[in-house]
Amino acid sequence: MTFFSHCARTVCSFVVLCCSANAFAGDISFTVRDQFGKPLADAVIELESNANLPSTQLPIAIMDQVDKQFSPNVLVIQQGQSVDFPNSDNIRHHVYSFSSAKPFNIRLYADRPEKPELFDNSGVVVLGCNIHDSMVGYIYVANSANTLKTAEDGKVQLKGITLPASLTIWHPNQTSEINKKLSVTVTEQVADITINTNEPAPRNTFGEMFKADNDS
Amino acid sequence: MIHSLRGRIIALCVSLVLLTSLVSLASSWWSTNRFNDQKLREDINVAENVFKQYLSAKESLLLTAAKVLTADFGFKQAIATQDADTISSVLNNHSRRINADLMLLIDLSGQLVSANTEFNHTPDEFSALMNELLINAEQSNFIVLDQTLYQVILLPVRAPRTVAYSLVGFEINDLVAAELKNLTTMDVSFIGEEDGVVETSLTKQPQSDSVLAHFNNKTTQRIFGEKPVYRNRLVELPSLPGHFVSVLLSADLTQSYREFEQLFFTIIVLAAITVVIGVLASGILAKNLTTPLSKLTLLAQQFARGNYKAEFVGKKQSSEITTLVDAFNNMGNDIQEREQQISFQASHDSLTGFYTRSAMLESMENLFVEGAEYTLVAIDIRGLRHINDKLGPRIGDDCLKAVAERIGEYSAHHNGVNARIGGDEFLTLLPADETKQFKDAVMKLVTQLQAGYLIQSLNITLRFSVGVVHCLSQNVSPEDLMRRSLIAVDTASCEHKTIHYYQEGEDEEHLERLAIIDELKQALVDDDGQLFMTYQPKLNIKTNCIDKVESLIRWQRKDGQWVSPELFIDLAEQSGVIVELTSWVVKTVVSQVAAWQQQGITMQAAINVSAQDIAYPSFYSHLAKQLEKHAVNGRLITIELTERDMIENEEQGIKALENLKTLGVKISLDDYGVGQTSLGRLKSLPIDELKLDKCFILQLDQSRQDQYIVQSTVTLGHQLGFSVVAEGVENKDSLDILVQNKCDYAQGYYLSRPLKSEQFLQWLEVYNEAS
Repeated sequence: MTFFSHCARTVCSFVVLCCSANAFAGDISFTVRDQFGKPLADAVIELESNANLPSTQLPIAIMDQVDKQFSPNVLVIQQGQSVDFPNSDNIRHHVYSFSSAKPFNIRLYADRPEKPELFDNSGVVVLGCNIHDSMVGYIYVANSANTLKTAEDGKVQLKGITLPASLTIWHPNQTSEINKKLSVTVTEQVADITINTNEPAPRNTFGEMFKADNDS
Repeated sequence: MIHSLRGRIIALCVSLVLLTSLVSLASSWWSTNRFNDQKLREDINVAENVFKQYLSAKESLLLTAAKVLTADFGFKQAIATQDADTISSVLNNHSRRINADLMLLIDLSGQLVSANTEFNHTPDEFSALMNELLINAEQSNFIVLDQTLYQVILLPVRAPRTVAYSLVGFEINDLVAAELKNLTTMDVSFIGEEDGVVETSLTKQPQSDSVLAHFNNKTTQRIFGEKPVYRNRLVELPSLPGHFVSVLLSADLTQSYREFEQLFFTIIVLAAITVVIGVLASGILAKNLTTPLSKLTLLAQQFARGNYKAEFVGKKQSSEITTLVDAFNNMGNDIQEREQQISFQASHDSLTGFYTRSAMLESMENLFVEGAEYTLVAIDIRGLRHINDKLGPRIGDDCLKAVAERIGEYSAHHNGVNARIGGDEFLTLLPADETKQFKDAVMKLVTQLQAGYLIQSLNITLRFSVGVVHCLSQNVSPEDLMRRSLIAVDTASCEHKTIHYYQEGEDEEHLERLAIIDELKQALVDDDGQLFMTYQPKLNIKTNCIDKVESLIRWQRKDGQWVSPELFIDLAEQSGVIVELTSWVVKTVVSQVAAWQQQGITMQAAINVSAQDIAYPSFYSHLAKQLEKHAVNGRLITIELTERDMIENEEQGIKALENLKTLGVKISLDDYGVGQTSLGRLKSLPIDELKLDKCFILQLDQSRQDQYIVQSTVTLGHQLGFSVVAEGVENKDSLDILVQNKCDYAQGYYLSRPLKSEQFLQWLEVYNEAS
């Protein structure tokens, strides 16, 4: 299976290479896969860009808590953007993060915190709930506006890109450290990018001991 | 080997008890040992299980506590600050919460971030340690840090994802070991061999050995040799490769040894007590058994001595012993009875019930009183043998019984004592007080005896010879008395008197005769000249030569007294000495004839021999031997037998004579004419010569009758083939008559009296010169 897709990929790359001898500008679509070839959702692709974005125009992003889970699992925002944390559960949550990009603490609350949190540093912020060990979420604070998250099928499309392009790939389950980003140079319109990932860590730390039903 | 019954019973009992004790000792040792061993093994198993359970429980506790700790928000927050001091204080604080001795914070790359304040050492290979521990996450491990043994757990700190690792640990020290010892009752030693760490519950550290060596090798001296003090079990603990930690569980066997030895001693003591009891009991049993036995032995010894009245004295015994005792007592009685019976039979005649000779003597001894007078009567039944032969022995016995009855009746009246001695002789002793006139008493007795007897419807008259001795008790001993009575009865019998009263001196005569016999015997043995032969020449009438002699024996006793040949020959015949005597005579005469031959004189010799001698088987062989020895021709010897001797066993006599004739000797019939030889006998007897008795020759010259007798006898003899010898020639006239009648030989005082050898030779010389 792997070998087949490997061959397919090589053939595709070759075809693409043959097809495009010149510099290209336009839309690029990517498919992000793991080391086994499986398409990865929630992978974040950031294109490097020097353009500064006015922070005042940015809307407030939402990181909801639904059924004792962060929703979405990965939230992509721009540096300088604020994020609100509505609690859609009928139970309280205590949202926290110790990530150096934005350490913050919203103690047990229902409905909505007092104000949204401002994320003015770029980086990855890992969210957790103090009273629900299984709740983990991620906020990707991007430098560039050209930052997109892959869908379920692992695909993503970037518009108005000049090839070759340099971009970074990030996935919450990546094997490398959580704050690191994988640099990739893309030369084709349609590309596959591979990023190594771990099995997600077990969510419930006491689960196996007490044999309770896992939430995750 | 033990010989006494007592000893054997005791030995048996003791050996049984010993055997039982030994067997039970051995078996209880063996089974106790096995039991102990098993129990010990089980105990160690249990201890190991307990230990494992304890460790497991402790681990769960540790894990739970550590997990809670590391999930603590405050803890996470403190770590997020990345402030070293804050983190250290939190570690310190939180470790105290669960009494953990060690709490470390390690980053994801394996670097030590911080530690609780008590822990100062920073080892080099923490990352390796961490990696190893991570392999078995959520499981405790035993590690050595800074020469200290810890039970540790490595847990991730999730915030919410793992941001670091926390190492929580409890120190394992002596106290832990001691606590475990209390729990398991075994000594617990944690050993980190490679790191040289030992934590033990031993209260006293061994000086010389390492702890491991101590537990493994320590021995103790017990009764049965050196034994290991500890039984060990080594349990591996989860630890790092190359730094293995294990725990040694050591069971102290001392107590069990002690208990075992106690048991052992108890059994030995019990066995000893049992042996003692056994010895005592068996001693009693043996005594109960052997005491009556030894008493019975004494009883038997009493019986042996003749004391049958002895009785067994003792308390009630077992039935066997009682039976034995009864048997013994009965035996005693029976033996006594039989002894009495035998005594009676020994001293009494079975037929008549009278005393035997020896018993009579004894009773006389006992009866005799000083100064009393006694009459002893000896009664002989005449011709009883005749009655036995003619009427049968039963009649004979009945006669004896009847006679005894009459004697008994008579003597009963007079307090007499009766005896039966010999086949037909009785004695009755009559005390003289009753019978002052003893002769009358005897007469009365004899009269009673002589009355007729009715024996089995036969009328029998018996005749008696009675000898009577009367005396005072002090003068005479019972033996003498008895002997005298027998002499008297003998005299009565010989003289055909009914009663003969013992005369003084008869005893002495009798004794004298016995003395002569003894002397004769001695003289024969000594052959010292007391006895010697004389020779009376016989004239051969035909040749007118002296060519024959008759040998006659003479005896001059040592004291010079002559003993008449009739007397001592008679006595010799009665006592049987005649055989030795004749033998001596034969020897002497044959050697004399030989001696004469040597001197050139051929002389026949006639030897007087009795029928007893002829009957004796060795007479023939003796004579033959003498003839051979002295080289004397048998024809020179003539055997002279008297007629009366011929009467007895004719056939045997004829045979003997014929035998003798084979030697060449001549047989001469002595005293012919005065005996009882029938003419028929004369025909059959193998004789060569007749000797006319001297009574026919002494007065031959004057008696016509004698002449006729001589004449006819010579004729008869010649015709039957015999030669005739005339004995007792006193004068010439008689000799002439004999010559006339053609008698063959003449012998008498006219010729010569019997002469000793030398004298005879001299006489012969003179005679030969004269004629």
